[in-house]
Amino acid sequence: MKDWRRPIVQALSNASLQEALQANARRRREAWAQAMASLPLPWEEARERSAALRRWVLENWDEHLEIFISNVQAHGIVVHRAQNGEEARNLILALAREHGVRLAVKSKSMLTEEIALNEALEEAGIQVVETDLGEFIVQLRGEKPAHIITPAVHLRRQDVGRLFQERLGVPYTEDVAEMTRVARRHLRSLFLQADMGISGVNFGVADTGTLVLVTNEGNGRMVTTAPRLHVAVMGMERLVATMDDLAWMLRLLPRAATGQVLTTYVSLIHGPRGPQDPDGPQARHLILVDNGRRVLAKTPLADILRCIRCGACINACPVFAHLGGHAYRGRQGQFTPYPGPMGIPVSTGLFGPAFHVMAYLCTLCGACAEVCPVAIPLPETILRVRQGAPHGHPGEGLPWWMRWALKGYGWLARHPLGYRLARRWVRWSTGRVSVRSAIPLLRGAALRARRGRADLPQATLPPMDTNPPSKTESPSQKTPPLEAFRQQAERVNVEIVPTSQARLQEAILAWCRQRGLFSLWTWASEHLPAGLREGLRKDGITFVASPEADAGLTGARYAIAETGSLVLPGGPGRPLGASLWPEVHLAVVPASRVVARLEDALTDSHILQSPATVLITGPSRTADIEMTLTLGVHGPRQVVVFLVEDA
Amino acid sequence: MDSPSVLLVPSCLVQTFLPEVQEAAREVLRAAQIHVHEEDNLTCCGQPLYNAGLRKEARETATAYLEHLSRYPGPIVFLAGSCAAMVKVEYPHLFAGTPWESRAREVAQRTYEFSQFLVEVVGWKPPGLFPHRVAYHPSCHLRRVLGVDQAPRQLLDHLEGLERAPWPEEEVCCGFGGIFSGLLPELAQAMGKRKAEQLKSEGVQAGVTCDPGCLLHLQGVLGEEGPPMLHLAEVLAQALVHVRKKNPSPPQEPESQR
Repeated sequence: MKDWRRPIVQALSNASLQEALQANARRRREAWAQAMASLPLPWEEARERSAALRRWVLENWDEHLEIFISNVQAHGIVVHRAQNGEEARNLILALAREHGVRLAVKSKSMLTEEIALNEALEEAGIQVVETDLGEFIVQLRGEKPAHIITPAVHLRRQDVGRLFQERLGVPYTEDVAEMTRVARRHLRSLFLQADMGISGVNFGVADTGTLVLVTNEGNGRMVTTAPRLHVAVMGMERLVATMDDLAWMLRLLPRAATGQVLTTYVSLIHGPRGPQDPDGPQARHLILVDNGRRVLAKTPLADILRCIRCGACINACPVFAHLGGHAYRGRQGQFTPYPGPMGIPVSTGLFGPAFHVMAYLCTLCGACAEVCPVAIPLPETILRVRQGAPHGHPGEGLPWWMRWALKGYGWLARHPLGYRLARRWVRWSTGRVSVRSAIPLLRGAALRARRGRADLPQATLPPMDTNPPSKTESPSQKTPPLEAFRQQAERVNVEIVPTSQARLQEAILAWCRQRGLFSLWTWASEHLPAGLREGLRKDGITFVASPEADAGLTGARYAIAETGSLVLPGGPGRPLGASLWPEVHLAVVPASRVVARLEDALTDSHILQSPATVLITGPSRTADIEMTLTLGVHGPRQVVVFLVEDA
Repeated sequence: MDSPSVLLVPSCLVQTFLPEVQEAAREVLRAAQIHVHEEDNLTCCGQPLYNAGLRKEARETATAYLEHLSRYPGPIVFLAGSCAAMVKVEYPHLFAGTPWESRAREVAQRTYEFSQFLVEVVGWKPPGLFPHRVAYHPSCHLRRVLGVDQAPRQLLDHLEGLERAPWPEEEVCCGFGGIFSGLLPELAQAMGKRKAEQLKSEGVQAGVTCDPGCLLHLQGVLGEEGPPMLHLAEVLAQALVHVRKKNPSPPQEPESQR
């Protein structure tokens, strides 16, 4: 009991933590509400649909898993299955040994925290670097993530400034943009040196064997592109059936997680680098982890398997807003990467009875269920944990005195005479002794007992300040796709340069000259408008296929109006790096390639045949330090679309 | 037509700590021309046990309670949103698959929270004057489990002179949470404090809620200096005082309902 409560009391008395958490809760709630207002369906219908999609997959789990695995294998990805954390660690260690890995870079994955992968790799003498900005900070501090989406939610900019000064030897700063630049510089060389990239998987698409990664900073793309070996670690429940289903889930996940219509990057990974491909890892492996998930499906907590790890419930939870993730622990202080409402059934379900205590870090207020994009009945599920599911007895996790007090109360409640007498005694004693009770309710009762029927001061009324509800604009369904794309792209900080076929070269040249950009990393001529590359060369632009280029110049297979995204399939002549490493990304988009919806692009066979495709929605971004939006953390700081209106 | 009658269930917290709320509710229901019955032998609906995860003990306690409720034939009106939610929403689950299931469903059907009953069933428009600036706290179980959100606001907005101030982030839990605040009082206090500060920032004269748990919890956090927390029934009853002052002799024969 003591062990369980200590971090709670510590969290409450940590003023800077309280400030950070309060800001997080408020901003995230606002962002969530604003984002959901732009859904094409009413919220309740929208989430019922995503819940149904996930339920369907899990009700036919074996079948979908089998299809998924065989499709993934057909793309040339090696699939391994791990029953538990130890098996998963051993598989990854064996791969690292086989490939002579000394340095591994990771993008954020709570599953790798769940299986304690970093510790295992370090023990084997392999250096592991977390590259998500939040997770990088937490790793430098020797801590664990405090939130599944924003690992450094518990820190303020001053904490990060001091940390970077001490650990990276840079001058102290409180400027978040400067801190982001420091991290960018520091991590960039590591991406290029690393032998192995380790990532999680947000969704696996059964029908197509696609591994989907949803990220913002660009580190996820680097981890899966630069090192010669990529190992993806996936919870075996993270499946959707088809690309259409994926498109639907992509509408909900980013909105629920960060309030974005779509995250900056959605990577659709199909295979390792082909013989003709300019970049990508030589080998890709997928580790499918069970670690208790299959057993969980047969318990009263099965609903939680639908969870897509968006963190909306955590942001909505008033208890989390006072504790942060580090206070959610097992009875003896055991770690879990999953805090907050979703963390209660997940931690108890996967890690055992010691985590039942977490179920009492909840007022059953229901705020979590209100925001869940897959309609998980979280309060009911948490109540089932309190009732002992999946492997305890009723009231497991309650301190013994509370359990017996409640049982005594129940006995009394079945004896009306005794109950009435007890009530009278409580009322009598409360008025006398409870004024200084630690329990607010008893103090309130004592105050009331003294005050009787509360008198109201007959004051003159101050003027009422009314808050007119702010209207959120949702893009009209009737806007033509081209115009809708323009609007949505600008909303996500993409610069649009309207142009024509005849003036395209001139427009690009003028844009580059104005900003002093002279070297470009481009797609091959056959994937760009005819004559463009040659024309630019004549005008003095040099071409460098490396991260050192001033800018990347690419085409785009599609532009999606709904999200303002560009769809860039990798493959021969289409280096993924061109849209990733340079500070500026220039994209040539013919107006005829603008489509209305995500589905229109995702079901294209080109994408399914490419070893990796990326959806790009604006410049690389992060909000990991105090939720201050910063552009260009790992990938481009600027994305410019040359929209060729007559093509 | 006879005026309708209801069974008024005050809830344990009201009976123990807030008898004045019960009295106020009685007055209000009478003003709305409702006959009020009360039942001495009602104890606890079992909610604290149920929410603690002690399902078996909760059902044992709830069985006696349900039996008492089922003996009364008419509408049952609760002065606590969470107890109403327990009987109306949770009982049918709690008793599912037992011989009590149909009785639980039948009772659930005619169970109402106080404001819900006045607005949805009676369609009552409260008369009277309450010249104060108040903020309403929608308690979680009332709003999210029972789905009652507008009724209390409508009743308040009917009162002459009442100004309803916003309670910033009104939908956020106050931190009471039943056994939660007994188990983790420091945490419950911190959560209540944030709500109390938001209330004070609006310069209101009272906070209003329909749940005695939230009421007492927030009152404890607000302390002696803070504005008082009131039950909706108290506000409505207080407003009636002015009506009586205006018409010293109320009509002997109440007008018939509709």
